[in-house]
Amino acid sequence: MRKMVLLTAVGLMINVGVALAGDTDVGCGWGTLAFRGQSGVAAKVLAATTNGLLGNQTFGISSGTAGCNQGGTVKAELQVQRYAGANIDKLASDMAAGQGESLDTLAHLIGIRDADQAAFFQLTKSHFNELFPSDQVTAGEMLTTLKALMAADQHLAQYVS
Amino acid sequence: MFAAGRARVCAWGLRPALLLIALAGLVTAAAAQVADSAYVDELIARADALHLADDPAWRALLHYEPRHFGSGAVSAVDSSWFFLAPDGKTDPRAELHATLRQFFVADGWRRDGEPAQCALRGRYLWLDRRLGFEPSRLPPTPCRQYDEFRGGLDAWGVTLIFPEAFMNNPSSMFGHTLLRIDAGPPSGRRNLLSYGVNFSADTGGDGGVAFAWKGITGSYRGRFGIHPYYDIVKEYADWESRDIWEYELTLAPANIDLLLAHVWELRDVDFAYYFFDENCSYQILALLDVARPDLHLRERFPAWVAPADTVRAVVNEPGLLRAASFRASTATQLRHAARELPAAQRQEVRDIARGSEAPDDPRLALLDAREHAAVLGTAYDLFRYEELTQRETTPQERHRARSILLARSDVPFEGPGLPPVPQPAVRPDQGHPIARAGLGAGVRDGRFYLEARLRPGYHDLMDPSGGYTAGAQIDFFALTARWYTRDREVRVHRFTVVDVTSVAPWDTFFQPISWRVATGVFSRLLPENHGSDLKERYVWRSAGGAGIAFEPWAHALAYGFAGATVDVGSALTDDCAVGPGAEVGLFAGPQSDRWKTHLFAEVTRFALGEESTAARAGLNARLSLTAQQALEAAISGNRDFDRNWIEAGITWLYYF
Repeated sequence: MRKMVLLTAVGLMINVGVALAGDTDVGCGWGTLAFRGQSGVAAKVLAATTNGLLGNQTFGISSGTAGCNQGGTVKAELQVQRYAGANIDKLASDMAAGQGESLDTLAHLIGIRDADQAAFFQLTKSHFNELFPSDQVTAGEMLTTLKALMAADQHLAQYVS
Repeated sequence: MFAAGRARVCAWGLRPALLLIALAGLVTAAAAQVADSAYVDELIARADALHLADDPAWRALLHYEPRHFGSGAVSAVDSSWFFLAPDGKTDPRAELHATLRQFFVADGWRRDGEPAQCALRGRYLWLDRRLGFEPSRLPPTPCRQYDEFRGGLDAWGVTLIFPEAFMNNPSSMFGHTLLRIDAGPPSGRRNLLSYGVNFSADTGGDGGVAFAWKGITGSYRGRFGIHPYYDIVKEYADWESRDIWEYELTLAPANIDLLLAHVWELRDVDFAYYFFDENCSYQILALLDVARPDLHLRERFPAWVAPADTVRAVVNEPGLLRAASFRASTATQLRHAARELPAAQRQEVRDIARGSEAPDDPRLALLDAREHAAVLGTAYDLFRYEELTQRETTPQERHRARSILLARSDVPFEGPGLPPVPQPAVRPDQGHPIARAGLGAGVRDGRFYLEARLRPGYHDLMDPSGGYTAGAQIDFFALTARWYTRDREVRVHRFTVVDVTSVAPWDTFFQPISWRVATGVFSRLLPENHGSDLKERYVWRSAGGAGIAFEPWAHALAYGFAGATVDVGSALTDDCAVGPGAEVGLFAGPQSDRWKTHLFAEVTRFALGEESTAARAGLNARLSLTAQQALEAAISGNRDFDRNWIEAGITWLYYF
């Protein structure tokens, strides 16, 4: 019981820590939980033909709008974060398989060159358990772990600042 | 003394100096005003001399349409602030003049903090191209927001995106279209990072009759929006399970610039959404008309607009289509997996997805790495598919998702472990044209007839299925008229107002309920005053039912339906005949779909009103002659009111 409380407290602290690190912007993909899917889609079947399904019509593109607080954060990093948050489930699936379009796109966003892609896919597949250690992992936590893993890899350390 | 003297000079000389400066300033300002208004008048005069207000590009930028009645034009845009001239909605020339004037005003009209030059970027770009604004006389305003928008898009090309129908929903067969702004140069491009421009209506969660009524009468408001393509793929391919066709277009950079500048102008601009004619696809054509006003795409659709037809119009334009590719939906991938996996593994996939087998079950280790990967990968996809279409995920489901993937990550095999989903042989734009006419002859209960048919749309189960969703049928306003030669009687044999049928087969992964609903006028053989002779009489027939189907062998579809029929007409006892019924049947044909047969048997027990037991059994066959022509033959044995008769006919069909 004590251990549980301790772990939970640590867990909470870590979450809070991560949130603070992302310049108090828990949005922009950072806090998105993995393995959630999307609920209540069936009701939208009837509306299919007018296709008003993509939610609020926005002109949000990554260069500055739609919920991503730029602050002083590097734009490229925000893009990675936003993409990971929006595609966390597909990324999990691709990482487990060792390949896939969503994972390939993430590699592209991080800036990984073609020659190093195989090493990246191999890394994410073999370390899947660390990247997704629980059912409650968030996209931000996954990215933090990914960065640490890449930093420790001889081929991929160059992509981590 | 010196200083005092100077001070005195300064103090004394300042006032006239100030006066002179003030005068000079006024004169300069006045001169500037004069220069501005002289230049704007000059530009307006040149615009009129070039008839720019009548130019198809200007018409496209302002979304002018010819009036339905009378002459002149009216813009499809509803937002009044979009027009700078008071009568801009109906007067292209006044709007052009007002636009030019507004470009000179830095502190006047603003939208979202932007002056006209930036907020109306499309108009500015085009007018600059045609008139050649001199920067010294019309200084260009820096447009920071617009530049960020263009920078973020990194536009190199435009692709027309066509999500197809999804399973068991024939009305989605009409499809949808949107544009993808392809980001980055072709080599190394990641399509998921591009953005899509989409027109859609805010239906506020309406359903059923309200949705249909509002959609048809233009009560919904539609707007353009931009979304990351990965969200679009998630929406259509994953959640809605629609296959997506991507038609890469060839557009010159200058045309793409104008298209995107125009999209920028359309932020928060409202259009009335009309389901039939000013729908999503029509608005995409409007965007393409801005990029290529010479194509006059909207003009080709004066009446109603079917998305597939708009794709045809674009794709068939010489030089416009660069390449077409296919993106399979999750459901299509799963159906493909069901065909590729052996039966035992299909079962394991289902059990793992539903949680009755653990993903690390020792049986799986007996498979080779590729099969192991295929089973776990498909199990995850099936689980996600079923989970996605339900409600909120439970903790157990999230746990199952992760444990399947964890097991998959341990399998030393990269990739899905299955051959890729093949691209369908026939693209949606290559499918048969939606309207159909027919001429034929036949015999019904011993009476010979000549027949003419006409159907404005859309697709039935006997039509060539290439480019259409298998098992989906929508017919509306389909008329079959006959001339019975012996009695010289012209009759409407059938007028189908609407017939929607979905025959979706069961397999290991999917167990959909097939369904159908139809209503229309039908000429039925009814007894004349309790006599034994049957005469042709009109009834209004509505029928509906549900059932199941399966594929007994490749390209065959067997089905069974149970339902009810409601006939209404003065020729019937109590003006109606109502009763339950059932039908079984089989569609079969070769993979090439050169011909197709339909064997069926049905019975309806009319228990209310005009009582009888009506039964039919028969065979229809269709043989394709060319891409646009086919022959259909039909023969059936019929029974009603204890009388039996044969019907047989042959019809030549023409699709257009």
